[in-house]
Amino acid sequence: MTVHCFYLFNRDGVCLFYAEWNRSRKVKNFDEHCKLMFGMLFELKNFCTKLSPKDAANPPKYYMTPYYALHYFDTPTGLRFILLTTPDFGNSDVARVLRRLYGEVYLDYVVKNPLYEPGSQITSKAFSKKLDAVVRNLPCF
Amino acid sequence: MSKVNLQRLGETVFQSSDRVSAELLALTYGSTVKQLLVDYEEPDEVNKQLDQMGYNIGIRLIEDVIANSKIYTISSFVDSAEIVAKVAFKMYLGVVANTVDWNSDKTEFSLQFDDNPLTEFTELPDRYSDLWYANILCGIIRGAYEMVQMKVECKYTKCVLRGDDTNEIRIVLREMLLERPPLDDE
Repeated sequence: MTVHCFYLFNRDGVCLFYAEWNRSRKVKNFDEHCKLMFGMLFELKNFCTKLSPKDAANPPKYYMTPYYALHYFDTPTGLRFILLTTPDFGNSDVARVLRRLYGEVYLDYVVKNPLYEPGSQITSKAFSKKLDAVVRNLPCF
Repeated sequence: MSKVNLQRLGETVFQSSDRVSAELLALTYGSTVKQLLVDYEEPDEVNKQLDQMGYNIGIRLIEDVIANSKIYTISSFVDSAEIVAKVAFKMYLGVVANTVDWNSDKTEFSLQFDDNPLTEFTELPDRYSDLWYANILCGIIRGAYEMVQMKVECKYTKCVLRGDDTNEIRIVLREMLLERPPLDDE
């Protein structure tokens, strides 16, 4: 298994951060790509909630195609963490990784950075370094 | 989650996080308020500034609450009230608040807490009798709620510094913000 890329969206659909590792196909128009991605995620969550037999909102955890798996985690504040991996992630709990990225990386290097303007793109080097380290250290990388 | 569970959760998170001494917090906060009184003179204006400062803190602090308490879904306003009272208050102030005086629609409640570490060592002189000394809390709550898609109004209604027997903050839910679909979607 390997990790392809990571996206972080805020509730307004702004892509706050993007990173990629082993992704051979390049994205041509990144803005367009993000718009498509966010729209899909938004509807996916809506769809999952609508189909649900229970009232509670239930966001998807992942979906899978023969070539990749998309892992999804969102917070009550509307942040969406997405990790694309190969489909052979087996039983490893990737959602947990995303929660770790939220609690240990985003929280410490973005929320607690007083110079970060909420809603703007994340340019912090410390953030991208830490994110990179966490992802590379995954047993499944 | 039930009240008891939330209380336990609040306790656990409180125990596991880094803390600073209550004196340091009280004195730092006190000097901030003092400086605001010097700068703005009018207690009303200071209340406003404290609220605004709190708001800026709240919109960030909420992420810390969620990440550390690991509460990833907030299902209703009633639930959220208990989380504020039992988890968030415990995490940052070391005290637990009670939610009282719910209205019949369950859109308004009061947070009641006897001890407020921010007001320790403080006495309110007569000329500042209009000051809500710990008004920063209102701003923090308002900011945090806004980030989880609920617009609330928050007002101090009782403060021990003014001679009341307890501290009370009234929280009124104005609007549940719905998640909007992306705007420029053709």
